[in-house]
Amino acid sequence: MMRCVCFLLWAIMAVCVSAQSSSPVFIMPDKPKGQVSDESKWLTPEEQYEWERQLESWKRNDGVDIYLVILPNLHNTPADHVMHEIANRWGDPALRGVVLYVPSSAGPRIWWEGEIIEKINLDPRAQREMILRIEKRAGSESTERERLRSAIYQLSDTMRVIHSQWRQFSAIRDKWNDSIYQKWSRDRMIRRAKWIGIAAVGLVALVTVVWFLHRRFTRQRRYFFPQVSAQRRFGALHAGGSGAVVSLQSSRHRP
Amino acid sequence: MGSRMSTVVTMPPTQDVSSYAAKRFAAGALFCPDCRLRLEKPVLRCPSCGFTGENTLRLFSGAAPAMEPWMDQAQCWDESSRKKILGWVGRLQRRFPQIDWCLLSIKLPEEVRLRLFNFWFFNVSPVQNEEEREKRSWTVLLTYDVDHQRFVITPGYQVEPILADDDWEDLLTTLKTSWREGGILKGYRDFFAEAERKLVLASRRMNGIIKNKEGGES
Repeated sequence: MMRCVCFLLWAIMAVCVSAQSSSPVFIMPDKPKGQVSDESKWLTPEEQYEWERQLESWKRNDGVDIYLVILPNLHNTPADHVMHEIANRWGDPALRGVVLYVPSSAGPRIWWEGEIIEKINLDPRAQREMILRIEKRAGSESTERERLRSAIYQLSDTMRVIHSQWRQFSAIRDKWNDSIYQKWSRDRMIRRAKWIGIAAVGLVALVTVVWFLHRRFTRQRRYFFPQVSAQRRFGALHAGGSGAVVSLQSSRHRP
Repeated sequence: MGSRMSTVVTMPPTQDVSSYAAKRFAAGALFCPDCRLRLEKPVLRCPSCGFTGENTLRLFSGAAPAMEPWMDQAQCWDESSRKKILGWVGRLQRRFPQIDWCLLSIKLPEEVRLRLFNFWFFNVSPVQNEEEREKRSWTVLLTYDVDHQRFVITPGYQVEPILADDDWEDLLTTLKTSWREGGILKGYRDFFAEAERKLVLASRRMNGIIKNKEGGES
């Protein structure tokens, strides 16, 4: 009996370990050198080159950073989660997009996000609606490659429009800020001029007051002497005194 | 020149009824310019040496120029010094508007007696009109003998009661002392500063005499 129980436990554990080791695990692919990551080798080299060139051109010219990711299997990992992780890890924080395709699946999945969306106050429901419409239109194409192409082009168009809105928004904002700054600068200059004028007038008034007070308190008094009847003598009309003499050469000198 | 002094001698003494008697304010005694005899009253001729104004006409022949505030006959001053000295004189004249100052620099022989020279110059220097004649008696003549570095100062009749001869000598001593300490410009500056102080005191003294006599302040 005891042996049976031990064997049963061992069998259960073995089954669990076996099941755990053989379960599929999704591994995030490494960031590609370009804009295309095809671990399933679904794209031909010419197609991969063509998409690399096209996506690089959009990124360089329009600021649309889209990654095309083709994976053989997601191993039950939600596609939205995978795209979100890829976008966060690889893409431009301002605006980034991901086209995820698993060969033989229903169709390509897309995702786009970025700081610009928050800055232009785009409604998240509208963003979600755009994604669904793109996926729906892409899914309506007849072949896998046509679906992928449609998804990529629609996503790039959408992101280009969003980016253009952002640039326009930035231009308007900059213009607005510039006008506000100019007005602020003008007001500041007027205020400064006003204060400088007041200070100058005050300073002039202060200097004037100080000058008048200085004049008042330091103005030297004028002294007058009484008119006397001249004691004319020796027949001299203007001066008859002996005066005073001093010699610098000798104090004993008596001229 | 002789006739001018003769005119002075024969001219009757002016009596100004609106003026005060000089003796009442006199700061010091009167002395003969020649023998320095103390005089009890104004005389036409010194009772001791017989000096009279006409004697100077014989000592100094020729005509004296008109008196001006700045007479640099010896040409011993540069422009900068002239401006400084006249600035001090101007300050003094602003405080004492009645008193005019004339500064004369001249080169005289050593045997010339400066008291008599100043006496002569002061009296024979021509006046243009009555107003200038009146101003002359309010004038102080400071003469600088450049060659022998002697100074003589002679006040007019109106200035005479203000400061005694001792005061003028004290001022010239100040000039002499300051000159030795810091040069001639310092001498002049201190001279005028001291003169200002003495004149202020003299003015207060004279006005005090008037107020006491007329029943003002006790």
